[in-house]
Amino acid sequence: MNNLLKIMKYDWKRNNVAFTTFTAVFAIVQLFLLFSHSLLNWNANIVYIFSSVGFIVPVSMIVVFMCKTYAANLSSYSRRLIPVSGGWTIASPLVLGSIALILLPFVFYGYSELYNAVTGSNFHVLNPIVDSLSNVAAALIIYFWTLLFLTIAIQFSITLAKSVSIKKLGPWVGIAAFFIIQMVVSWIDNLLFDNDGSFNFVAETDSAANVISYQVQLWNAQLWGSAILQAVVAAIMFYTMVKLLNKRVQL
Amino acid sequence: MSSILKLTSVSKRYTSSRNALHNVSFDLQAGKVVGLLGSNGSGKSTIMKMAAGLLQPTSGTVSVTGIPVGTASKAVTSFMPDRPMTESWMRVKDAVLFYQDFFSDFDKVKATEMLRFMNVNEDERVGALSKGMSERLHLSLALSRNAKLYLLDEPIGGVDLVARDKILDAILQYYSEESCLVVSTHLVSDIERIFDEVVFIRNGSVVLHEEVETIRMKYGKSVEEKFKEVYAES
Amino acid sequence: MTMEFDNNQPIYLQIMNHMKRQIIVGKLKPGDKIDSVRELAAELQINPNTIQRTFQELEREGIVETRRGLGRYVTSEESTIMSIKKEMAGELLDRFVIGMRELGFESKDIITIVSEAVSEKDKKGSE
Repeated sequence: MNNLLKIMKYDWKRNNVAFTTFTAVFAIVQLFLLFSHSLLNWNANIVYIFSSVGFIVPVSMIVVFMCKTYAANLSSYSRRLIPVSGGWTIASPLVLGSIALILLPFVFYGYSELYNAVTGSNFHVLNPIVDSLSNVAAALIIYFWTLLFLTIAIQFSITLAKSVSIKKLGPWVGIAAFFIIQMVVSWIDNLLFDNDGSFNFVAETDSAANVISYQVQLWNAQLWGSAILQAVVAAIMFYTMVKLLNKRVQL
Repeated sequence: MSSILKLTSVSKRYTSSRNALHNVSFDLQAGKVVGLLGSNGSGKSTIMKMAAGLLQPTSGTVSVTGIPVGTASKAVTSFMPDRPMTESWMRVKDAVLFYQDFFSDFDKVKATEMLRFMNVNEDERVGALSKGMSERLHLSLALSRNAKLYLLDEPIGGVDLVARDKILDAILQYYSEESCLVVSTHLVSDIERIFDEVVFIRNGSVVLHEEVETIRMKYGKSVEEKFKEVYAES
Repeated sequence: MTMEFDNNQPIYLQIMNHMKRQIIVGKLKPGDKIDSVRELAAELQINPNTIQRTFQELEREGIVETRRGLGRYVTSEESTIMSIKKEMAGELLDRFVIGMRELGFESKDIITIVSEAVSEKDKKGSE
């Protein structure tokens, strides 16, 4: 555990300049958009949509940071020569990234409230159809877990690519492994939980079977089923990565 | 005497024959300074990296103090690699702290002392160091650990004569009876007098493993001459 | 102590001879303390085990003695030092005699030449 904290410290130090720079640029852009309505008289509705969609950028940057840090650590002497098990090397960027991923929705919520206050609009971050506490929690879990699983799968592919003894073949093996894992997981998911990837809209109907409205139900058996399946796959990938890191990965 | 680094029938295959190894076996003891000699691409660097845990043999086993190379052996192995062990954001003092954080056998006082002896400024950015200075930093860090096995990969590769003398002094000064120090090099004459024994590697095989005084006694030749003779055969 | 080494010869023999010579010429006196293995290794930039071996051989020949907890000292036995002198003189003489024979001198001539050379040196020295 102590080793994890030490590795996290050095992963943070390695990224802190890039991270701070990115955060500053993002904050400036969002602040500009925040005041664009009052200063430039831009359409508040359209700007809000843009700045909300803009939050996809930090989300993807966090994933990129996690994967890049991991990949860099795999081929860095300083990390490969220390007597620390490979597990911590894998976990460290995941934990750091997770902290950022968990904080981000709250930032987004805060930003939206601020936007409403500044522009006098009335945007509801939480869409009316998902606006129940359980749905919000479920949405956050889906958001967080999807990205974490994606990152673990990418880490796994990188590890695999580095373990292939014929160097030129490595990246292709890694890429192939990534897509195969994604396909296999969704195939099993379908098979076991009949998960068609839709958002589980449950239609509310009247007595004549006419649809009145759709109610989304994120908190359901399928969700948990898929999450558990992915967790199992992630655990297998993690275990394999530790083995590969300690035994096979070439510099 | 106890065995420190032991290779048993170690082979390493690559797509090209460069750096490959064929059935290499040897056993190095505590209290010895060993020269691992060979030309570039002979496989000596491959052996060093395997002992450090950076590469895995295709077949055979490598063990350090009897433990197979892995996380546990890294705690008793101090490797001075041919590539930086530091990270670009670091200053020299950060590199010292890094070693202190991860190696329990690291002696910070010794490191500070040695960096001063080597004229390395602790506030310098590691990225701004010249090749020679970077070698001095890495040697200081590597020798400031109280390890069982020291692996110095080409420690006098690109340095000037003054630095070479300092490096030899440092090696001799920090040598200990409980540990084994392996130096890989192709510049034999400069440092042959600090060796107890030498291992000649040619095209991935051990061609000679002998005590240096025995070589001088038996053949009336210096290690360097013997080395040239062995390489001329190929 | 500074010395040049010939890498073709065992280093420990070279250091042994060097120390013997120093004893003979009086740079190292009977009863003098000798540098430790580590000090000498650092000074000469020589492997410490080689120095260790040098000392062991010198001890075996009775030239150096270890006093427990104090270190190593040049022996105070005059006879031992005398015998080193003789031994080294013997080596010189052997080489000299062989060289002279190769030049074609008879034993008698060699003795004459040596005694002439010695008295010549003495004369020059007294002038």
